[in-house]
Amino acid sequence: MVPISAYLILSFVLFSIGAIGVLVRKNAIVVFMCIELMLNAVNISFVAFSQLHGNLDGQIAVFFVMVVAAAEAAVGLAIIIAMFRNAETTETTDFGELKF
Amino acid sequence: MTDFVLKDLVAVLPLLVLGLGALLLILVDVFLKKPWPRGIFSIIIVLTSFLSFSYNATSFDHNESIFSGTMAFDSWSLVLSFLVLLGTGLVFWLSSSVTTKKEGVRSEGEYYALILLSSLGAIIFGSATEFITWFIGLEIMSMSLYALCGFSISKKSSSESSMKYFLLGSFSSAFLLYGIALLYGLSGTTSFAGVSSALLTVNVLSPLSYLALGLIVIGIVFKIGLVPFHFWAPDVYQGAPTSITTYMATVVKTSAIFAAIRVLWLTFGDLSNVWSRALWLFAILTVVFGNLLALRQKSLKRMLGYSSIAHAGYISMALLVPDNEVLGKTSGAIIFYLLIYTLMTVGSFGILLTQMNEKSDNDEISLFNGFATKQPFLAALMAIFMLSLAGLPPALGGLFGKFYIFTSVLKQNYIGLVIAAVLSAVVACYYYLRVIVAMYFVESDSATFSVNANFWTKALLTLCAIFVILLGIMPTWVSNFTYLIAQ
Repeated sequence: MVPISAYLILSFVLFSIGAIGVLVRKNAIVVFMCIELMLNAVNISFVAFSQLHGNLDGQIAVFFVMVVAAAEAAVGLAIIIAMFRNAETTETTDFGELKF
Repeated sequence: MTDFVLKDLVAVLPLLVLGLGALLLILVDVFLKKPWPRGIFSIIIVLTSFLSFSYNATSFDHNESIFSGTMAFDSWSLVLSFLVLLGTGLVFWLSSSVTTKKEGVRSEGEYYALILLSSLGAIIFGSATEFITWFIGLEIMSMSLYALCGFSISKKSSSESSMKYFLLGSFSSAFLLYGIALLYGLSGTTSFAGVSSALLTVNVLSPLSYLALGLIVIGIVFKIGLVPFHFWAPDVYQGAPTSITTYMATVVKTSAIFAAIRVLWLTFGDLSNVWSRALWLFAILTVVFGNLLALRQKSLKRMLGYSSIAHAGYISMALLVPDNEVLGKTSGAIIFYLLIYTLMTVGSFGILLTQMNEKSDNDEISLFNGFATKQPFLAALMAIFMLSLAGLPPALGGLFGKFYIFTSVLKQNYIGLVIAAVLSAVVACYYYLRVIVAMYFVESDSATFSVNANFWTKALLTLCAIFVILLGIMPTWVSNFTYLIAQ
């Protein structure tokens, strides 16, 4: 039997990898993938806690988070395409018109 | 059982009208090839929603939870619905009378439908009493806005603003969601009441619950746009189409403030020693830096963006003083401030919108040089809005808003905070008055002002100005009115 802490540590590690990725990567698509990674890391926590408490709330929550992630993908990729049409690039560093 | 469900559905009738109206709008838009008055149709949807809201407000027992405790139907949610519908209606009025095409918005059908859906999410976000519903409301509201920010599709600055909002917004919702997962782990439930009672039964909070509460607070604070989580706001506000900036500065802020009230006061009110210190820090940083950073802005839109951060700072000061009734001292102050702030913001962005044109992105303050000689009426309205934002006479609405909030915060002995806020409000006068100086005392460098204000735009702006002045003369109107809604 795998202890619950193992799942939580896995979830935390994945979440951190995602968060660090968002902060260091410059390509909008990679940043977006890192955000999806963070959401899915949270899903692992939800499922683990659901098992711990023996109720289904957490697993239901996972479905909603998956729907949100899918909607986010639809909106996000559309935004990245609009970006690319305007500037022929998806590097976030090439967008610096708006500052200070 | 069926009776029970029917009652719930009637309670969320304003939301159903918004959602179905948005779908209907898209559907009609698909089949009607030629342009049709979408703006007027959307205003009718908002009015219908408002009618069903008034029916609910007058004919129901309040203080009920609906849909098995996932949403509240109480005075708070009624006041929130009123403010959201008001803001949405004003933005629709603005964008249908000043043609949105000027800012490069091409697909108008989606434009109005997404705003309707965003308002739907805003009301859910502020009236949910269960974390998953809350999160879904937040995402419905934000996801529509991510797309709306990029609606000036051929402008690079618009897609930049959309990208920044999208990446940072979903980054912050991931943190929020992690906080929700941890709270679920600690308590075994996702309902607000269950979580707070689980956290209150233990004597000493574990580090994990501090982490979870911290993540939730950060998620809310990001949406309100308080320093140091404000970095997205000026960029997004500047790049987005002006009507969407107006929407974000009014409706989204209102909804996030109400979500904060519901989570911090009504749910974790007994843990106020945990979150109040963090909120105090955010509030003081926001009122100081929001105003200081606005000083150096050349772009009027960006300056108003910073000013809206500062105003959110004043409101969040009041969040430090919890109070459980809609018409308590602090909550009355917050509602008054949000109402007057909505009117001032719609007015000032509306005047900026009349000066925007398709060709250039120019929204600098120098654009208004000599505005008063060419457009005396619009200049006078702009002066009223600027004076009110600064809190100076004759538009006393802004002043009373600040006064109410500062007095209720003073009662709790946050003296340092109030002193900082008053001083930075004085500093703020400088950048608001700069606009008036440009309009009245500087010679115009270009002879032409593109006048894009038709009768309806002027009517809207005049109405906003009249209400800003009236609320300054009779501030008790708001509390009477709130009492009517929330009795």
